[in-house]
Amino acid sequence: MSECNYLYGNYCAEKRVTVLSQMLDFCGIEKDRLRARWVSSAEAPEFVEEINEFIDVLKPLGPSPLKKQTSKDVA
Amino acid sequence: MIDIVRQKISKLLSDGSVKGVVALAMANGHVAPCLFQKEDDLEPLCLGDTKKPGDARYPLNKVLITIARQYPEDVFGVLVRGCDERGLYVLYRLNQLEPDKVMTIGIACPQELAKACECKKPYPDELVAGEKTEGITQQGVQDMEDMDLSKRFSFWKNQFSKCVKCYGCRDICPMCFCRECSLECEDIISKGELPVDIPVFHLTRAMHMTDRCIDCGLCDETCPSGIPLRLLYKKTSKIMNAEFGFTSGINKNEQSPLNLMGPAPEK
Ligand code: SF4
Ligand code: SF4
Repeated sequence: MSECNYLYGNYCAEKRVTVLSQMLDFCGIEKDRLRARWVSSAEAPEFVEEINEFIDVLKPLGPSPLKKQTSKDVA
Repeated sequence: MIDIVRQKISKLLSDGSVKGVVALAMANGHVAPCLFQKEDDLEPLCLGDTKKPGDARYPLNKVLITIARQYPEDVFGVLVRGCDERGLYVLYRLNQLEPDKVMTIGIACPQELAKACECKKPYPDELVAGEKTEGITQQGVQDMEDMDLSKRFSFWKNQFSKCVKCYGCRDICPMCFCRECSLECEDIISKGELPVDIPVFHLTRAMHMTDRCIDCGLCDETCPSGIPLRLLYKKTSKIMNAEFGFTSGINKNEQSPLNLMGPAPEK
């Protein structure tokens, strides 16, 4: 955690994510849709692994019911 | 109560301790914020009681910020209820007002108003007039948490869909003072479109209120669509309290855990 390029940036983000994830839950949105992980730019395999894990969580949840129709969908 | 307040303001003005006092005036049948500058000019002073006690409230701190930005050297007085004083503490923390440039005239709210506001602390620490009454226990957040996820989802989706993006909630909020507002940033919030981006619009505001909202309820009162905004911010406050042991506006020299450079402080 203490290796952030922006010194304390990830600590600051972590505190906010704590709040936001509970707010999502409060509004009835699965809080698993939000995830924060710290991966350095030199750790490509770790990054891939994190994303793959996240995808495994997201797939069963499906698209968000709040997804906006884009002009592409309409056409 | 008003006589004591009038005396106090008159004293502050006549002995020159303040340049002016931001309070409420009754003019042409309406209550409005007013800057009083002469002690013999206090006739229109009022406490915002129209049909019920304190039913006309204004974010006087917000008016004070505008004035203080123009006259940074001068000391001003301001009429405060419990919520306003909490707001001042937050504004000191965020460097929007300087404590030694503000003199408060604190009034306690009658039980009836405290009930109507569901106020946890209906009196300021520095009290000039009125009797302290008991704080009110709040129930709304718990009730919402007791509903299941899908119920909460449809509740908030319906509520947020009613938003007409008037920005009234932001404009009335005594804790909103930024010159540039994220709610007008087109990368986050689409412009000129309704319904609003759900839940982005309202959660952006909620996140910005996380360590600021002092639970005055003005946003709720203002929203033309009757969206229970304050309930959202009550939830952020509850989280802040549970996670970090923090309550905004509760003490004068507070520090927000969100602004600390580093991990969350030990509770
Ligand atoms: S209750 Fe509403 S208006 Fe009052 S401080 Fe909180 S967000 Fe702002
Ligand atoms: S006051 Fe109500 S309708 Fe207006 S922007 Fe805020 S939430 Fe939307």
